[in-house]
Amino acid sequence: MGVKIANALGAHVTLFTTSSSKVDDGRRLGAHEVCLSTNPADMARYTNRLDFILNTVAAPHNLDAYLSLLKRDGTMTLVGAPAEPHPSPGVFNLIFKRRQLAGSLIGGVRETQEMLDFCAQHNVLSDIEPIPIDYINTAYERMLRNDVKYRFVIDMTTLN
Amino acid sequence: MTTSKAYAAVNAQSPLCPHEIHRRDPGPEDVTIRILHCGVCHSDLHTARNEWKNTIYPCVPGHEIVGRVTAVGRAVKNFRAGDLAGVGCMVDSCGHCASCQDGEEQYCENGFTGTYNGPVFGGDNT
Ligand SMILES: [Zn+2]
Repeated sequence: MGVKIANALGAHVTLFTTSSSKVDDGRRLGAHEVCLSTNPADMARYTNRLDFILNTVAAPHNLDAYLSLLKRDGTMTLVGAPAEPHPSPGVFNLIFKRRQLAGSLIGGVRETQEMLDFCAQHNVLSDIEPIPIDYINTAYERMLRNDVKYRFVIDMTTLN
Repeated sequence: MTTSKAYAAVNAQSPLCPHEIHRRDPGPEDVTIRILHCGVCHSDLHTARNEWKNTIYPCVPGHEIVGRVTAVGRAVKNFRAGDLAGVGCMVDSCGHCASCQDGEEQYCENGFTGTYNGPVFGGDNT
């Protein structure tokens, strides 16, 4: 959804992914470029190039690898919440480009309605994998294995 | 009190299993919905397994909810029975702190009430 909304807002969007299987999907979702983050040469192409990074990763990882992709005055905002902290980023990486590392929570009721209205207006829809509720524990295991492309959505009529 | 069907984790190791939960009676500002769909967020998994060390068991995770309104309290103006309604991560906040006054109730200084695993102002946990 981040990719779709960023595209609808008019941004030039680059998707960073660890899995090559998501490259084609990323383009279909509206990414103008897709970078395979496990490939150092691919990552290096973006050094000092990005205005903003929306970091949705919910596992501890090396933030410097992404901070160094920001332009001067660029911001990386963390919205994923890992159970263990990320390794602390290098300060040089921040001060020499006046970069910012930030965090953000969900929207409030007003912002959430605004987001829904924006999505309705721009026909931004979620891609989902519908599941019955008795599949939930398998869905969790698949999330842990990174074996999920789209949001699992439980059809609650299957709860009897 | 209302009894609802759910899938709950009873401890950090247990898979989610069928479970019955009790909800307080809806108040004048409350909207009652029949849940149709619910998205699965990684927060659900973190919470079910107590990975943030704050889970209240039994825990019924799920906070990307779409439902159909079945009843509304007498003070409710924006919803009527039959409407579609969505519920996100948050179902209440104090309403009077600086963040709430600014319309940024997700940053409620008294702690917003999560859709699950949250303390309710004057009630049981969500
Ligand atoms: Zn407040």
